[in-house]
Amino acid sequence: MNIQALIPIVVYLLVLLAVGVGIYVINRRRQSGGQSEYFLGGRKLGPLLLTFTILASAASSGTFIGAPGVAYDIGFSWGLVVVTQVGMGIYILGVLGKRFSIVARKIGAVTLTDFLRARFESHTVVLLTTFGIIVFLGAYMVAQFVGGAIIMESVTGLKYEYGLLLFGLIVVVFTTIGGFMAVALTDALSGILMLLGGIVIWAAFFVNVGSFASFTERMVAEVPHLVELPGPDDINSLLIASYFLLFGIAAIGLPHASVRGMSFDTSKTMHRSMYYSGIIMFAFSIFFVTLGPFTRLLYPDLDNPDTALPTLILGTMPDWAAGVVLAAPLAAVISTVNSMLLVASSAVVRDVYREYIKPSASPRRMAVLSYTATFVIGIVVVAFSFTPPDFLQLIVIYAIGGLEATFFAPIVFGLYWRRANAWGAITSMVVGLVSYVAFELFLPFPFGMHTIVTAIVLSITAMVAVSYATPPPPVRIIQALWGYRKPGAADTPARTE
Amino acid sequence: MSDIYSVEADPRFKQCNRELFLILGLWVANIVVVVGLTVWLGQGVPASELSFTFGLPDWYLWGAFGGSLLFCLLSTLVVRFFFKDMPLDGYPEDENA
Repeated sequence: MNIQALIPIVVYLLVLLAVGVGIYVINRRRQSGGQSEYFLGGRKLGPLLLTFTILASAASSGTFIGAPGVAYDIGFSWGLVVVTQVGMGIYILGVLGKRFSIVARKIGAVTLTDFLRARFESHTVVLLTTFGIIVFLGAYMVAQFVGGAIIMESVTGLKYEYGLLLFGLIVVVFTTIGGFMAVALTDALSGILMLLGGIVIWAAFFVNVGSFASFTERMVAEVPHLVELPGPDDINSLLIASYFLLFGIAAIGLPHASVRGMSFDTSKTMHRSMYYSGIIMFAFSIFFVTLGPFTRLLYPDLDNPDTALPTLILGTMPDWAAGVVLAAPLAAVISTVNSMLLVASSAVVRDVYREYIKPSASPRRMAVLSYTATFVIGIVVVAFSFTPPDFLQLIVIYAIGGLEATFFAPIVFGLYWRRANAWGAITSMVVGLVSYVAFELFLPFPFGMHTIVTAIVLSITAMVAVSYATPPPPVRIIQALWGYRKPGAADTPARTE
Repeated sequence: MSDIYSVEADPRFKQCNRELFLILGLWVANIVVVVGLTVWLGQGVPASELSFTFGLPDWYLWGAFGGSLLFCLLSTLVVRFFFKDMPLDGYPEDENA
């Protein structure tokens, strides 16, 4: 076992745990354990925390392990696909941002489901949302934990099961006791590690292996497809453009990302976060994937491309530095899972329990239940992760696309379009999800684009067509979400045309 | 009789709508810049005829690095000059009532 590489990782995990405990103690002392605090950090994030918690939640092990693996296989053309996520934070904040924050404050929404419930007043919408969140986020969390434990094993030699238990339990515990604020703070720490890892790995490559230019001749002669476009996977311009939807603007449909679109304190915070988030996401994205093709020349015969990056790191760095760099993908795993865990927990506690089982539950009972649900879901996910599924990146892309196809239309149209109604929302969610899964299974990449394009176009069409074909939403709803005065507080809210 | 269109909208929403379309514009710009640069410099060119800078194919360096950084700059400018600060309270008039 490689103790030197294990030490930086264990230190990092212990710091995370300490943050969770710290937040728990502070909350205890202040007596602030409300739902808005636990699931949304009391809407008081500043620009740096906001940026890191959005980006670190969105950037997963796919960016750090899956992507360099694919680039090892097919070359720089995959790097192009990865940079389509650079604008993700800007799109999420820009489209949801102020509008979502204002509306959420009007109706007291703490989660995405709260918003959809108030906007569409439909049990079907709420149940579909809860179902989508639990199934997809659950699968995605398992994939992330599996990825994390594989990294741990490949670097430190710690057995898969022990690695999984070690960091799985720490993540579950600090998320459970610390809630959203602990998640945001640890996301910031993880984000810094992810930046640091990228810089260290490039520096170590140049020092210990040589410049990129020293590989050019061999690359062109031995594996020319690595440097060509569209390359072996036919990454043509239409396909790249469609990835700007999948990894870019459609990320608005990811529940663990979109909830962050209402977590900040002021519009100034949001603007500053938009300045930072492009450049930080660029740094997350570019460093690791760019090394994939070079790894191919150094280690040409790897069975599983997912091991490309760990192999490179272990082969070219001193052990302790390998530990620091490999903490980056682990940080990506942890910062994604902790956010999802809270969203899944809020779905169970707020959307199922309080809505359908016991609406009269006291705040104290809700608090106890929130802790319990987070803990239990976390443990279930860890338990599922003991038997790992095969190809990491595929599962990741599948779950992400499914969530986006389900939620993009109801969130955006529900927020900006008065005429959107419950039938439109239900149809768009079902059509989005079913068409995404069906096309992925039977006819992937329709029209030469990623399946997400077809699914979202169909889902938006369903939203508009069905909304127009059925009666408009009650005026009461529009009054509550669009109106300037509190409903019922004033008697003349309506303007006569 | 009031219908959904006669509800007077929160005056802040006008600016929100404007910002939505600015973001959609930025998204299109991001695609055009990145795809445009890569296609122009590298689409369909065999490896032996590609030019390299710092050991990276030019289409990758200018498309993925250059295009993305250009987009970051562009979005900073758009936010700096076209986005407006506003209070985020749900119903601002409550405070005075």
